[in-house]
Amino acid sequence: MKPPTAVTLLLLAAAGTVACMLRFAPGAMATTIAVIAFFSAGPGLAVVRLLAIRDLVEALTLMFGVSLAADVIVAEAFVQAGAWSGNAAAVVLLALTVVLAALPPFPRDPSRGAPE
Amino acid sequence: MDRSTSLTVVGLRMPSVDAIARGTWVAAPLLLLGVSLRLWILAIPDIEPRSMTDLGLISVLPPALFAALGTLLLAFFAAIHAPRTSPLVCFLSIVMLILLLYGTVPIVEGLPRTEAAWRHIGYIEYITRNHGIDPTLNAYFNWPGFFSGGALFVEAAGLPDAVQLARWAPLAFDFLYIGPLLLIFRTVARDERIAWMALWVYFTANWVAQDYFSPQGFALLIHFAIVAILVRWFTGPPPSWVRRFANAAARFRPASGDAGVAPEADKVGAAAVARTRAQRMLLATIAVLLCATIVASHQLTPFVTLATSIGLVAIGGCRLRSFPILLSAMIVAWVSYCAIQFMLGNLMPLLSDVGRVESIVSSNVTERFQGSAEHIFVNRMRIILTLTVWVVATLGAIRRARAGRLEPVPMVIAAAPFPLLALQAYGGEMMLRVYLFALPGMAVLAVRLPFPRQVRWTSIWVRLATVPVAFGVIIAFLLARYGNERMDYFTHEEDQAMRYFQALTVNGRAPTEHATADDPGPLVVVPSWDLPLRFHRDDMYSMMVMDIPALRDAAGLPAGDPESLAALVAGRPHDGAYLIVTRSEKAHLQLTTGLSPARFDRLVADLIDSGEARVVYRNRDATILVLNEEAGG
Repeated sequence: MKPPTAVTLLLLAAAGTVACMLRFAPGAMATTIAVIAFFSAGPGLAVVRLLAIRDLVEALTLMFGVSLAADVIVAEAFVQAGAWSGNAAAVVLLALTVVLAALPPFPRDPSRGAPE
Repeated sequence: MDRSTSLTVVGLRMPSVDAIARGTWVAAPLLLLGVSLRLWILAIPDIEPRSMTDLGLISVLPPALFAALGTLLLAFFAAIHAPRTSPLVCFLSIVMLILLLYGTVPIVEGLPRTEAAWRHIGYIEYITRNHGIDPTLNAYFNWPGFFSGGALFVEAAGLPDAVQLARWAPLAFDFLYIGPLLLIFRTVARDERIAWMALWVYFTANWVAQDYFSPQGFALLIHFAIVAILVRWFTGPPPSWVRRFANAAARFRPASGDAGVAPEADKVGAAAVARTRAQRMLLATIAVLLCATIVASHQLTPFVTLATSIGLVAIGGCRLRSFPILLSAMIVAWVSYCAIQFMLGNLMPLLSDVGRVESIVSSNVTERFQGSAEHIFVNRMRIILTLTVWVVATLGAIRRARAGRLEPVPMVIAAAPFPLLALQAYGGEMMLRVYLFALPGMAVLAVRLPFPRQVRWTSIWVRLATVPVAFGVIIAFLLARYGNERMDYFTHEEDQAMRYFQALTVNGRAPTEHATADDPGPLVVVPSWDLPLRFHRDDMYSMMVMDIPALRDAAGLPAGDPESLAALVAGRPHDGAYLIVTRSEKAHLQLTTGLSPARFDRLVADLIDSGEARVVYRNRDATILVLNEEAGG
């Protein structure tokens, strides 16, 4: 079994920290910053890690796009179900990020760079 | 001695001439960027929004800010002019450009701009208060994706409301647009410098200001991300008809060269095309996930994404042939299930616009040319900037094709939104939206006018003209984007007045309570809808906008006649009637109708003198009157 990568460890640590802050310091300035940063980038970073993308522009585009899309879809599911709870949606997104971070990344294409 | 050879002097190895030149090409723009930043910081305290004229923000910008913009432009020009482009310097130049053009306003004004942003804050407040939505209450709740996401951020982050999110949203959105736009531009352009210049053009020509705290601002980001994924990872060889067209266009080229379609990707892009099957599947899944987000968030953007994806599939720019079909199915499913409440009541009015291109263009353009002389000048500037971008892009596309390199992908991105003009007036805004969606494609093609092949500074005219023309575009941008700023911005005094009104009338009521026929709630009478009121308990009161033509006509419903105002509210059931007059409302009416602010001061004075109303709150920017019960129902 391969050891976890730095990105995996970062994601798991960030998810754990945000979960603790939501539980023990809701409404604090640090919590606000951490929550906004995590939900803007966390879920997407987990997906980028799966894709093993190296290009910075590609990675950032997918990271922010996927994160915000995941936020909207999870929140929207709660709203449409008539059971809105910001904290419950946050927990779902944290769990989703942790699961994605724990998955093994796709193997890199050995022919990367050559046309198909 | 060779320029690349280093010299050893007194035992110290000196850098080569080439190394010094390379370092200078990086250091000089960085120095200029530092100067620009310093000038901007110095300029910020000198900007006084209250002193704005009808020309908007540009009328209060100090010379230091123009100097900052000029210095930034020189830095970017130097970075692009360098023999080897530094991505870091180009990136920092774009970041600085966004800070100057889009970050100045939220810093100076301190509150979200535009009334619509405050209304959107109110929809998020509704979700957090009611733990859900009521699609019958508001059309926006038929596409609540953006508001649901906003509610998540507000509640999880422990914010009291979304005011601060809305304040910084334009800056955040524009920073986020950099990634997907750069990805698109790098993939379709052969030269990385074209990509950076196209990015510069995009941010200096995006006067439409739909990047505020809104579903469309968010959906635009997702739309760009989808297009970036399609052209970056799913591009394919052009079909035979595109090749034939490219060859036909190249016959008219003045110089010899390799005719045909421009490569789908430069050397950076080509590497992205090769992916494993699993990676391609995940990327396609991501594209579908992003589609679900915009379908749930905005009524118009999915149609632009659909048109763009159809165009890309047709020219071979996207190998995911099933993508447009899947997106169509998602749109139909959403409209016929989640947005059915809206469609039932609005289908016929929506369909009645189809094909009426002339009236749609008329409602989008000609009807905006009224109001004060400066306001009309600003609107003219918008039209000029729009047409200039379109003409330059068209000429750029022609020059590129004549140079033997047809660029179908940016042409599709630029052309795809135009069919929307035949479908909907969209409240008189369809032209703006078409311009906005087409801008990325237009930006790439516009850069192709001076550089139809590669970026080579061989023409003295191009060298001399670049900086003055680019500076002129920035000035036009400031006029076009912030020309209405006097009515678009809100002061802290206006915010305080609205919060006082809400504390007086609707706070303390049950969170799920909202206005009904039996319990109508307070009636708010306003001269204009342009005030920051609806960010809290929007469902608890009803608003009535005064009859502006009548206000202007002394023989009609006179502003100074309290009895007429009483008659105005008498027919509406209410639980207390209020008149709210603010600085922004007066500015809005002065700009768009030419009505003097003094008219409303006289209205307030006459109402008080007649005993028909009394002041419940007043500060220098807002007056709230309660209208006597005898005047109401």
